[in-house]
Amino acid sequence: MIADRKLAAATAESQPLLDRRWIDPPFARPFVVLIPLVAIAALASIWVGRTSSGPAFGLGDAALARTILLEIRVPRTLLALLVGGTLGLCGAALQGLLRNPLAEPGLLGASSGAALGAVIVFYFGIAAADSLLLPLGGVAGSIGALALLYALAGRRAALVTIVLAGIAINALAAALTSLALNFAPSPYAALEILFWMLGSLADRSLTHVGLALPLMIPGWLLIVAAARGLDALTLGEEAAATLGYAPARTQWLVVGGTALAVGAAVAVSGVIGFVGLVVPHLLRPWTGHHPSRLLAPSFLAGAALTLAADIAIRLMPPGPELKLGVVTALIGAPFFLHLILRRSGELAS
Amino acid sequence: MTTLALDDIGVRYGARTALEPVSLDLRAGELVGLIGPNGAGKSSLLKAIAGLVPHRGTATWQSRPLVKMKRLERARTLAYLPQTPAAHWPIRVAELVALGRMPHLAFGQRPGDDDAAAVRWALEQCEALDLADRRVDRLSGGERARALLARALAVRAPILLADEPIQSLDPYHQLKIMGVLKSYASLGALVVAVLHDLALAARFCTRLVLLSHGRVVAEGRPEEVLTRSALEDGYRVEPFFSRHEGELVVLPWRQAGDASKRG
Repeated sequence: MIADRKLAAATAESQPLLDRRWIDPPFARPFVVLIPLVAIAALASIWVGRTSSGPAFGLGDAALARTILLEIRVPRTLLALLVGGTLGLCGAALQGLLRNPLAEPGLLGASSGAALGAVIVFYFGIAAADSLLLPLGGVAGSIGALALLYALAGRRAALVTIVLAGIAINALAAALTSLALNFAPSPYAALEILFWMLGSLADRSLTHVGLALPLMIPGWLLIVAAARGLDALTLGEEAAATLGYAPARTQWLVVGGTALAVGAAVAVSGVIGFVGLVVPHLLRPWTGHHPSRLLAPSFLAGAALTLAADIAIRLMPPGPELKLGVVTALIGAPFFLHLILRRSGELAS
Repeated sequence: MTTLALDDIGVRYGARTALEPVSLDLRAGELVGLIGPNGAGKSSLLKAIAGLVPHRGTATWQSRPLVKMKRLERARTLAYLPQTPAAHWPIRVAELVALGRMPHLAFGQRPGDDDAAAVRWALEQCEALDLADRRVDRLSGGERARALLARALAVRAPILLADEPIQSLDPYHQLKIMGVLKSYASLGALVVAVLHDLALAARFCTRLVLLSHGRVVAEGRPEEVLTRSALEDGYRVEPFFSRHEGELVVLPWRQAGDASKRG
């Protein structure tokens, strides 16, 4: 049987190796699973709710249904989808850019910048936790962090400079956030800031969606425009440049896209960690390691994961609602540790 | 005649001059060896031609400056194999080599059957077709070098620049890779390779350029460049010359002026 197969392979030898699929295998397979998965998670997310007495299913009586659907459930579902998708997409793009599977959207300071922007709005008492000024502050903070990154690192900066500048911006934003907490006008305000930063999708409206989406879409497009450049970077920066995909261009497309999209996500949801780290990892054995092939599946898987985590929160018994950022960190941090241990094991062997 | 005309190409890193301005005409069909001691400016010259470092002067291909070309057209004209070529993700060799087809693809266009044919041709040239389905992180040093050279060949660019393509390879693979470069040149391409092995440079290259301290000190056919005085001045080594099968054999024999070790 094996001998037969070898013979057949030898006679038909030249044919398969001239077919395009040999160098560009079809990659529809992940979508066949991921698209239905996201659809199911989104429907479940609309169907599952929460009252003060615990989980609630369905939408209640007809008069109430419309209000619950449009003002509570749909915004929450949409935001979980958009925020999770953004985090997955940006995580995959950053890992491709840095050629390091441990990279994460929080790395460039966009998340912490957005968090700081929102905290400043809080601190000066300009807005209550549910106000729209909050996301605006977040977006401003994210863009400010990017502008600072650009000023620190320069247009043709080496990647390591960008990462180090990102770390510095993260540290600065964290310090200023602590400062705001330290001098919070009242313990209540400090608690409100802290809770907001934990990351949640509860009590959001369609206005939040409308605020985030116009920034997310250009962010996504910038990252999609960088897809080929990310593939070229597989061969290193010099080879990528001579293939017509200058690393500096790829770099700023990804960094700019991430700052816009993740900044907008953090601005409406607070900081939700580890989704961008974990999702590309789970997908790689399945999509292959080409950074460009990972982008769209990472968006879908990020959306599915975030929807699932947000549904899990609403299925919890009554009591103070668990924050989404806490759940993703509780799942993500051990996973991160596992990755590091496995990598160091690979290095040792 | 198709030429790559280098006009006044010079490279400075800050205050340090890596390469004094050089002017050379390199013809298609040639395998040009860039030789010279460490720090002579060989890699700087190659990177300047490839547009990877800020430099003065212009490189002109078929009377068009390379810098004036659109980025993908330029990438189709010039392929570059870095000194330490990388493969950062563990992808299949066939897909790695296919990255060399990127300059031929418009935005959003997937590779086609003709690209597959080019990948197959490049792998065959490097005797690496049997590696096609292997993961690049699981190759030996010699296999990896062949796969990455195949990536550069798959561009099918009329200019191929290779920075030390045979470093850290065993003698068999050194001969193999030099043979691949020579046969690619014989197809009508200009191949420029930085080399440290004088014997292989003499044997395979149609033309040599000897650099020392950022200057071209000699250039021409191997017999013209690899003279006793040029090697003593340029490399500070005393050469050993011989002939084998009618071809020149050059070996660095001892450090120049080191009379104490003379037997």
